[in-house]
Amino acid sequence: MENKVVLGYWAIRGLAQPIRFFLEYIELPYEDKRYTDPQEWFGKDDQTFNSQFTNLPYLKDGDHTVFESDAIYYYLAHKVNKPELLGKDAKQQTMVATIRGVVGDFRATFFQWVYGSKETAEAKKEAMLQETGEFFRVFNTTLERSTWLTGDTITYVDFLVWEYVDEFLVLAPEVITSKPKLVEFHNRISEFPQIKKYLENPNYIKRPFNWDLQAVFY
Amino acid sequence: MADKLLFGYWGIRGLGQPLRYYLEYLGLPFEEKRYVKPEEWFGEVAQPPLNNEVLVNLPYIKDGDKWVFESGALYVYLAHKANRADLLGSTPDEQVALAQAKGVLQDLLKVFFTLITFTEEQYAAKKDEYFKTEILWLIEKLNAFLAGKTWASGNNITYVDFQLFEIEETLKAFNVDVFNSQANIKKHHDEFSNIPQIKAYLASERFIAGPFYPPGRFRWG
Repeated sequence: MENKVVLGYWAIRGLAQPIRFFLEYIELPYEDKRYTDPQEWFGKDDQTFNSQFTNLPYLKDGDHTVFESDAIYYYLAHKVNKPELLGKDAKQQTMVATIRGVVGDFRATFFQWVYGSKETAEAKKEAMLQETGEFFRVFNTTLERSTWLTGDTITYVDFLVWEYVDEFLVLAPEVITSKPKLVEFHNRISEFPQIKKYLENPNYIKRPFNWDLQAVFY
Repeated sequence: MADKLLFGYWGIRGLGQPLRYYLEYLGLPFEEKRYVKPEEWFGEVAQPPLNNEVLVNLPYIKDGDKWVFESGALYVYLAHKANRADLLGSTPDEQVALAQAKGVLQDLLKVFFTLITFTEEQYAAKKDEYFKTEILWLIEKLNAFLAGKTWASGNNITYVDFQLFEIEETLKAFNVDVFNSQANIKKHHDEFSNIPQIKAYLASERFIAGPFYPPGRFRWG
């Protein structure tokens, strides 16, 4: 008789992976519901929610469901009484919003290539790596000055960036391995006992990162 | 005696406009730097050492020596500066509700941007169809979401209302008939326009009526 929360998303890493990490980090028991077939979601499960916001990912907690990945981090941090994961004071909250904005800009650049034309993907890859490399450079320099991306304590945006560092370690390792603080950051999170255990769990999704039917890299 | 804040953005409405409303509403003394040519920006501020540690970008706030970038962060920074953290959501429920509302606004902006960045041929041929199939349902969703609410998160005004108002203004300029047909959107728009500081700003010379987006590059603005 579990009151586990339910995280619903596609059976890929995508936007939900950092949420899975967050759930593991805060050690909140959860069901990782994965929609492998769009028809399980569209026209079926998505009709069961009485909300203006119905979408994936969602977090269902008893009768209450939260949509929008950012809202899900807010909900979970408050649920486990760890609002510091959203930024412990005005200064850190501003930095959290800054990094969150930068992640949005990174996604816009990266996903334009990932979900862009397959024919021109190889030709455009170098330019994409230059642009995304700028983001990683700035993250690396930020980590030279502070332990975590927003200051001396971890916040949810650290998990957002970890996911892209991990993805690039597969896609274009030199972009990351040339930045020692990023490598150290990646290892630091991987070494948290609860995360280390999660990474070894057979349920952990290594691939695909992205929608394998449409993406030029997954 | 505090120095004025400096708000930097392009000389258009765009992403900057909600932040202008916000600054006016908060009553924080500020100056604007309105960039017209990319060289002014990229040659001027987007240089080392500033761009070593942060992704310099527009909009920004310069507060003495301190720079803040990313529009999301500006709402947080300015709320705290003006002692109005309530604008960020006073309770966990409000914060979650705001994050959800922001999602709909972002979806709407994304499809609208797709429309106005069509090629000229695509725009001429598909504008109406695209609006009907991709944009209208999100507007209706937003309208339904606002039913029974004074403000986006319920009873209290928050930073999302400022972003929402600019979306309403954009819709009103783009398709006034659709705007008029959405009762809750119209109501929110009217309520917001009547906030004293906003009313004064809209009537002032500082208010940028247009363009919404840079002319030439976009099919509408």
